Amino acid sequence: MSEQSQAKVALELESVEIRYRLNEPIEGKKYYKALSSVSLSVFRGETLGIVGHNGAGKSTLLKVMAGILAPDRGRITNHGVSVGLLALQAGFDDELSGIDNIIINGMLMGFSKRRIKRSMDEIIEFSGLGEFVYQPIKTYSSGMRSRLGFAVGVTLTPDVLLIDEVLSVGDEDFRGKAEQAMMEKMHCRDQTIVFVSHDAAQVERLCDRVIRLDH
Amino acid sequence: MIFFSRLLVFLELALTKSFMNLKSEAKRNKLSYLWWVVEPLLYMGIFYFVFGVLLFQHSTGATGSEFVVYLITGLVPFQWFAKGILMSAPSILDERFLMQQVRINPVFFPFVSVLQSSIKQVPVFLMLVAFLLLMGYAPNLTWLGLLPVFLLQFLLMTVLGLLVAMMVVVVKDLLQIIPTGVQFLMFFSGVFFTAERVPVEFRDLFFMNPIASLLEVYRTILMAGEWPSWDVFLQLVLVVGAIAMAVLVVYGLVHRNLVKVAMR
Repeated sequence: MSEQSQAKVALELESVEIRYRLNEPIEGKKYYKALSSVSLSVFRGETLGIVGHNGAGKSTLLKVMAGILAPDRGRITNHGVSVGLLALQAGFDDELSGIDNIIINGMLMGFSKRRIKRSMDEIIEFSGLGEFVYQPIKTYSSGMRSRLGFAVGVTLTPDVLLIDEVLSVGDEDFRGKAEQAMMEKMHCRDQTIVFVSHDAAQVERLCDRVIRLDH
Repeated sequence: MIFFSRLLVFLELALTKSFMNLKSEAKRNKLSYLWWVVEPLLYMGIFYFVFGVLLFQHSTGATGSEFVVYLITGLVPFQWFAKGILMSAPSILDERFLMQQVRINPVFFPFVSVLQSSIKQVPVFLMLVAFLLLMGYAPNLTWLGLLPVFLLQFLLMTVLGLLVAMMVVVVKDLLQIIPTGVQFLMFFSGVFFTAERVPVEFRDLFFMNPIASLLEVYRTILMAGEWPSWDVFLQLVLVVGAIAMAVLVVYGLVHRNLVKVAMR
């Protein structure tokens, strides 16, 4: 790898292996390899697509990149970037208001309370919830919850955003708005995105580079 | 430097999550935050009636009012310990799906449980102070000695909370016996009886239990109005420190696989 391209690398995976212990052995094997010897680099500013059939290990790969799962073998190197999964509705509490849930969801994704409060108006506006944002979310419809979750995820983004097939949220109007916002992110030079989908056509259309995971 | 900034972010998140959890819990009940006071009062009332009036009052060698003070000064810190441990036990397992979505240190969950139970215990400790004043125990400088004792108990609860939470991830059945274990500790920590009543041959064993030593220290400060013996305090610090080191070693060995094990 040249020095120039090395400088642009955000994440680097070398021979990464993830194993899960099976509850019951299959054909005498106690472990299942979800990822086997995966090596790849994610470059700053690119939109990288990852495709593969069901069970190929796409979601597991994102969890490794996000630091949620530690490789059983191999190595992952982070070149000074923040990385996070687009975790819609993570940590949502039904009894709390939309505002409180924005704060908790944002903080769980690694943002400070101050940073979240700075983006609060933008998040509320994107969600389209209006005054409902002060109500407990147990009073929301599932569409309203999705809109709130997506609004947080699309407004508070880490340097490397990992998306696991969650581009279709809310009603038809909101879906258009969400897809447009995501497209803007994808075309933004500062934003690195890794997008996982089993829909190869969608990935080809949205991404700069595509990697196929075979298992 | 990076360590401290990460620690600050962790503490800010833990504090916010604790307050949000308490707010959520209060919203579920009609009496809301009043339960923080009502529930411990009921609990202490029951224990006082059973052990103070019906059973033990005359067997401790203390007068009636002394026994009430003895009982309450032991029960309040023990309740804090018990609630923290019982809340911590399922905390990692319960949040296994969240741990699949965001990168978060597993220590976070038992730590939030302990923090939450500590915040709830503040008014209970204030009630204890009011009760002591009412019973004629005047506050004095030695009460400042409570601060390191609180810190020590908080640390003990955090490491034990982490230990039981990790154990529950590996062996879920433990959730069934942890409440019994906490109850056993209550009867083995001198909440209802003085250390002098423990047979001499078991006394060393009795004080190896850090909760028993902690309760002794609380009572020395609050009831006798004396500074705790440095020997006892140092011994307590060493025991809690040793437990903390042992738990951290276990954590170091298992934390990488906790998410995977929790999902099994």
